[in-house]
Parts: sequence; structure tokens; C-alpha cells
Amino acid sequence: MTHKLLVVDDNAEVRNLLRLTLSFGDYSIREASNGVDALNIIREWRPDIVLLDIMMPGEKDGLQVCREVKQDEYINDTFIAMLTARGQKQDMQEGNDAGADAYLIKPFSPMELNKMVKRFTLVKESVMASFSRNCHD
Amino acid sequence: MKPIEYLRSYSRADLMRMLGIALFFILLTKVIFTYIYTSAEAAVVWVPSGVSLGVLLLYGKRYWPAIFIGILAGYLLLDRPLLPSVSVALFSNTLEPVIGAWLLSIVQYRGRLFNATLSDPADLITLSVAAVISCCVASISGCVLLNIFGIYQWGHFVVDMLHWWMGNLLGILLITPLILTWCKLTPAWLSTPKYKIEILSYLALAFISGQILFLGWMNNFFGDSYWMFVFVCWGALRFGLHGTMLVISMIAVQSMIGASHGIGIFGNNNAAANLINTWFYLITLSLVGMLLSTVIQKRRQSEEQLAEHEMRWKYALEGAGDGVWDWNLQTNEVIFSKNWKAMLGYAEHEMSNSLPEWECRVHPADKDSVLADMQAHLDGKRSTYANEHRMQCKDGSWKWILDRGMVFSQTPEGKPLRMVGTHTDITRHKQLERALKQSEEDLYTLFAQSPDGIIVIDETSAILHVNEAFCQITGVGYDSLISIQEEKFDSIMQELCGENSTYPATAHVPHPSVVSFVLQNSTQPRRRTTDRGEQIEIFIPEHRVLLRSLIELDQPRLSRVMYFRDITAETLIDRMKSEFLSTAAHELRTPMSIILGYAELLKLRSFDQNTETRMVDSIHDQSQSIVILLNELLDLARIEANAGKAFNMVKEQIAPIIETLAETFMLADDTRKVKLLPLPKLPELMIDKEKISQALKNCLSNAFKFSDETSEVSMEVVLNQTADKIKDKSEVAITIRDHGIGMTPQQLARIFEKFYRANPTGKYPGTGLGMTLIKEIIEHHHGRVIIESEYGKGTTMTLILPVPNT
Repeated sequence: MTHKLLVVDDNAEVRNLLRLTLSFGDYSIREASNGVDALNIIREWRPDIVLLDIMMPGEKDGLQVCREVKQDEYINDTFIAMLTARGQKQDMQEGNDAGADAYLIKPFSPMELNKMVKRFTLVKESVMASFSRNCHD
Repeated sequence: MKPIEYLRSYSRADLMRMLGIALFFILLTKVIFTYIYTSAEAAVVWVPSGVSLGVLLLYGKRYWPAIFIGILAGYLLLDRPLLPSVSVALFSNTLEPVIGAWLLSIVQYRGRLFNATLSDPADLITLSVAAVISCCVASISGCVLLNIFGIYQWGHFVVDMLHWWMGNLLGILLITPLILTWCKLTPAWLSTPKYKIEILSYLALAFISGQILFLGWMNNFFGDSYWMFVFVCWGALRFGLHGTMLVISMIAVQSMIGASHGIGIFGNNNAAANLINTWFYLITLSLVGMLLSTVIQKRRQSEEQLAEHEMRWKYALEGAGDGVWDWNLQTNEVIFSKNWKAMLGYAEHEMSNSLPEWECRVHPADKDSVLADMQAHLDGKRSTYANEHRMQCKDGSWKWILDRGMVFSQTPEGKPLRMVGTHTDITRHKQLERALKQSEEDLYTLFAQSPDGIIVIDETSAILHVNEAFCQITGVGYDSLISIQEEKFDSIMQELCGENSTYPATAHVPHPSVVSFVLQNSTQPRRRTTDRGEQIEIFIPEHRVLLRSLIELDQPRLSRVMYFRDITAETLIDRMKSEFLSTAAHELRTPMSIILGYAELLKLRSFDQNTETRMVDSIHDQSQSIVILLNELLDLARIEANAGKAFNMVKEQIAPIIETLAETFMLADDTRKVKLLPLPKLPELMIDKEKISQALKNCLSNAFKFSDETSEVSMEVVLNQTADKIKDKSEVAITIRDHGIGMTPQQLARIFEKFYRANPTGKYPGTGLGMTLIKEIIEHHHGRVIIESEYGKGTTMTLILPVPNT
């Protein structure tokens, strides 16, 4: 199953890095450079995973995007991982409060990122499997 | 009162005494009639009258039964008829002392009741008056009764009455004082040995004289009755009433015996005449004697009291160490007490008693105030005189003296006559006062000058002290703070904090405590020191962070003290630091994550050639970014640490630097170069070549960074030649113009702030230190930076460097 992944960061190099990092797996990847675009793509394309940078210009920053997604019952099953340079305890708490599913601090190891994404996809698959089983019964 | 109860009111002692008195009366009557008189009418001194009044005065009017029974018994023993005896004894002999005693208990002379000690001449006068009246009553009733009973004849009524009255009166005047004085008081001279000889010789001489005069000793050697007055005076002077009465009694006895037996100086005429003469003589003698002795006694007593009083006051004052002065304003004589003189180091004889002695020793600087105060009192403007001044001592040193006094007597015209006062040595007191004042001033200065605000609260929870720093820091006026209650203070502070922050009221915070809170509504002008050390005042409301330390004082008068420290600057710095750290961290992390990411990916697998090339280029670029960042940080740190030492100033041309820069400067990924306008002829400047390059590079970097590739960045150099009278004030201005995004006025205001980034997102990378560095560098060159900008249009930066004087 090909999973859909959205990469959100205002820095083009970072986006490129993420794309290359995720080239190990079989993912369909889209990019967004600000919060407003990110939300549009999430609603429309319905990615399974979103890699979200916190500090972005524009109306909505990463935390705001995360909050909106998690509060919207139609899309709150989207897995959101926050990527950020801020590693203070209060930042992680903020991320947690906003409803993030995971938190990665830059600089991160690409392998770590891959592992995390893989783990999630496995979880999602098993959930989907059990869901479809229940439906059939 | 019922008779039984009345009887019961007499105690055993009373009854015994009354019995004794009755017996005495019996005896007395017997003696008188046997040895002295042949008949009652011839009695010139009726002793029983005196005794009976004396008894009643000593023991009270209720002793009258003793007198009645005694006298009656006496009469009966003399074979007098019963009924007349009873009635006379009752209505004359007993009635008389009763009336006398009663009168003495109610009559007042000069506001004084009769005192049985006879200490005042007034007592004698009341006694005489009472005696006269009571004897009158007794003689009238006695004569009437005897006439009724036929013993007397009505024809003789007046004469009989007169005789009776005279006898009783003299009896009272002689005997009653004798009894009263000897029964009430013991004379002082009785116990003193030296008096004993005197009193004996006194009595002996009196006796002998009496014998000579009245009883024919030595054949009427000298015949003047007035000689006895000598003894009376002697007695009055030396032995008081006790002695005088004794002698007078003795004289009375002698003269009466003489008179009734026809011998002595009172024995020359017929019996009646003799007795009358004797009576008058004795009345005069006793009245004079008694009056004299009481007056002298009273005088002596007053003198003693006065002396005692004087002693008391003298010892009180002198004992306390004060000096006393007594000034006669008419004669200008002043009496100084021993202590007064001793206070200034003089012995008693070393100073005379005159006003100049005092005047010449007053300190010249204090003289005016002394005289002014003195005059104010003398004129009646002040009720007392008091002044603190210096007096010169014998050894030349100065002492502080508290001089107090009052006018206490005046001339008939109303002018002050006599003034008396004290001197107290207050030198030590003054020294302490001065030391205290100094200490207080010192402490107050420290309190007032403290940079921290201080509030002191007293035991009634009211504010006792407020220092100036507190008013400065908070902008609250002194008058609205002093003496207010703590709760009111809390509410004032809460108001300053506004709605969004809480002022921690002291009741809710544990003591001691350190709390910080934010004043949002403070409009107090704040002095900011620029980096050049200037002080400027800023009149904008701003956040102020205060640190309050609260300390509970364990004092009776002071309950707690609060210290308010303005930590706005520190807080700001802290905030800026943490902002910087997070920003810097972010700025470093982003390139780092790219470097790390790509490097790790390259290790894990291979990509196609284009991708790999791109990855390596990216790694390279990002590394360079990090280097620039680090350099900026280090530069700033170095400049701050080594102000001055980091600069290597050399006098040289700036034109080559500018030209090279224009040639070579380019921003990564930007094809533009700066357009350099033609340079004029420039003089040499004192510059650090490297640092100036750095500053220009930062300017250019910003200009390029914040504008897009289509717009132009230009650089221009201008020489402004101006001069004033004293020296040449030319400047070189280097202007860099861009047409980029520009800045809002708010952003422009903060452009030079450390770590301030007008655009904190990742779009325009930077640390916020670039402009700060430029400012530091140019300021070290004694120049200045001017920036003009319009949001959306572009920015113009001008760096101005002074031309050094040759």
C-alpha cells in the first residue's frame, strides 16, 4: 500500500532533504511551504502522515496547523510529526498540547525519521486490517 | 438614745477615768475651801472651772457626769444643803464647761476651729471668747438659783454675778491652757539636759520673786508687780506655753494667798479691793503670757517649717547637681549657689554675687538669644524663661548650660523685682544630641540615596517611611504613600500592575519573600543610559519588572520593610538572551540538519549523479552559513569584551576599500553587484580597515538580502565640509540604498537592538546582530549611523565617519 505523505517546511533545502530521506520507502510525497497551503492539501489529498515544521511564516504556524487538524473530526486520524529546532521542554509540551503524535528535533538522523514513519505505517496497516475484518463480520 | 444604751456607751476605761475625775474634784473643792478661801465669793481664780472645761476638752462633753458628781460630792462634804447644791452643781458648774466645749466646737476664727493644742494665737482668742460667754451663763444661772434658794440676796445680784464670772473666767484662762498643753504635748525641753538647769533656775527665781512680791519675803525688798512680766517673757521665749503657764499658775497661787491674807503688794487694801487688783493683774499676766508664748511658738514653728522647706528644696536642687541663682532686678545683685559656681569650676569665694559675673561668661554667639528670651519673659510674653547656651568655665572651656527661671515678685508698679532660676549642665546631653543628629543624617542620606525603593511599615500597619527611589521607580508620589494603611498600598500597587498581572499582596505571600511582578501602568520617566554614558529620559508607559524583598522586623515600632529593586533591565536582558539563544539555536540547527541529513543519506546509499552533486553543494553552502553565523557571534562577543582593544586604528584612505568591496561583494545565489557612484576626492580617515570592511559588508548584505534580484543596490560616498570657529568638522558619508522591503517605523526604532530581527522567520536568515555590529564599529570610529526606510519601498543606510583634524 502506498502511503501518502505531506512535507511542510518553509525552507526548500529542508523539504528536499526530507524527500530524499523518505526515498527509502514507497511513499507518495507532496510538499507545502506554509500553514495555509498545508491545511488545504490535508483536507483535499488526505495524507496519512504529515511532517510539520513549527516555525513558518504566514497566518498559521506549525502548531496552529496541528491544532486545527486534530480538532477537525474528519481529518484528525492524520498522523502528525512535528519537526523543529526548538528542543525546550516547554516547546515539547506545546506540541503535545496541540495534539502532535510525534516530535522530532532538528538535526535528526534520516534513519530515525524512516524508522518512525515505517512504524506508523505498520500500525496503520494493522488498524486498517482489523477494521476491514470487523466490517466483514 | 435610751438611758440604758446611753450608759452602755461608756467604756470601762471611761468609767474609771470619770471616777478619778470626780474624786479629784472632791479633793480640789476641799483643798480650796480649807486652805485658800474662806468663802466661794472670795475666789479670784475658780480652779474647778478651768479643770472642768479642760476635762471636757480632753475627753469629750460626755464626761459631764464626772464633773457633776464630783462637784456635788464636794459641796455635800462641805455640809452645803442638798437641793441648792444639786441645782447649782448641775446648772452652773456643769453647764458652764458643757457650753464652753460646745462653743469651741463650732466657733471659727479666721476659718480655723479651736485646736486643743493651742498652737495658734487664734486658739487663745476662741478660748477666751468661749470662756467669757460660758462663764456669763454659769454665773447668771448660779446666782439666780442661789437667790431662789435664799442663800444670796437679790440686792447683791450684779456684784455676785460679776464676782462669779470673774473667778470662773480667770480659772478657765489660767487652768485650762495649763491642763491642755501638759496633757496634749510633751515639751521639747523636758528631755534635754541643758534645759533642765535653766528651767530649775527659772522656776526657782520666779518662786523667790513671787515670794518677795506677794508674800512679804525680805520685807518687800522690791515692790513692782511688773517684775513678773520678765519671767513671763523669759518663759514665753524659752519654754513655750508649758513653762509660761506653770509660772503663771505659781504666781497666781502666791498672789492670791498674799492678797487674801493681806500681805505682799496686793495686801495693802481691803480684802475686796485686793482681790480685784489681783484679778486684773492675773488676767493681764496670763493673757499676755499666753499670747506671747503662742505667738512666739507659732513664729518658731513657721520658721522651722520654712527652714525645713528651704532645706528640702536646697537639697533637692543641689542634690540634683543644679545651680541656683537669685536675681534682684533693682540692684542687679545675683546670688549664685555654691553648685552654680562649682559647675563653672569656681570655689564659692572666687566669684562675687553680681549680674556681670554671669553676663561676661555667656558665649558671644549665644548672647543674643539669651537676652531675647530673657526679655520675652520679663516683658510678660512668656510665662517662664528658658534658654540653652554656653558658659565659660574657669579653665576657659565651654559648657552647655540649660538656664531656666521665673520672676516671682514684682515692685508695686508691676515691674519684675526678683527672679530665681536654675542652671543644669547639659554638655553631655548636647554632645549626645549632636552625635545622634549626625548619625541620623548619615542614615537618612543612605536611605534617601538608595537605588532600591524602600517602604517601612510600622506596628499599626501604616507606612512610616518612603524613600525617593521608590517614588522614582513606581511613579507614585510621596504624599500619596506616607501614613497610608498597608491595604491601600496594596491596592495602589495592583492598579499599577494593571489587569493582566497580579501584585502579590503581603498577606498572601510567605515571609520573608522575594517576588517579582510587572508594572504596566507606570508612566514614570525612566532614565536610560546610552552606551556613551548619557542619560536620557523616556516618557512612555512601559513594562517595569520589580523585585520585592519583604522582611519581617522583630521590632516594637517597625513591623516590616520592603525593598523594591528595578530589575527591568536584567529581565529584558534575560529575555533577549533566551530569545537570542532560541533564535541562534534555530539558525544553527536548520543548516546542521541539512548537513547531517545529506551526509547520512550519502553514507547509506548512492543516488544519481545530479542529486548527489546537489546534495554535496548543499552541504557546502550550509556549512558556510554556519561559519558566517559563528563569526558574527564571535565578533560581537569580542567587541563587547574588549571595547577599544579590538580596534586597530590607522590613518589611511577609505576609497580603495570601498572600491574593492563594490567589485567583489556578492551575496550567495544573487547575481547582483552593488552600483558604486563615482567617488569624490577624500581625505585620509582614522579607520580600522578590517572592521570598516566588515561594517560595509553587513550593510550591503542587508541591502541585498532584503531586496529582490530585480532591484538595484547603490553605494555613494560624499564629503561634507563644515567648520565652526574652533575646528574643522568635516565628515565622510557612505550611503547604501536599496529598494527592498523596507521597514515600518516600529521596526526601524529597534533596528540596532541586539538580536532584534525585523523578520524572525526563516525567509531572511540572520542572527539580529548585523546592525548591532555596524553600530558598534562606527561608534568606535566616533562616527554615526543614519537609517531611513519606508515599508515596501526600500532602505537607505548612511555611515558617517569624521575627518580627523590635522
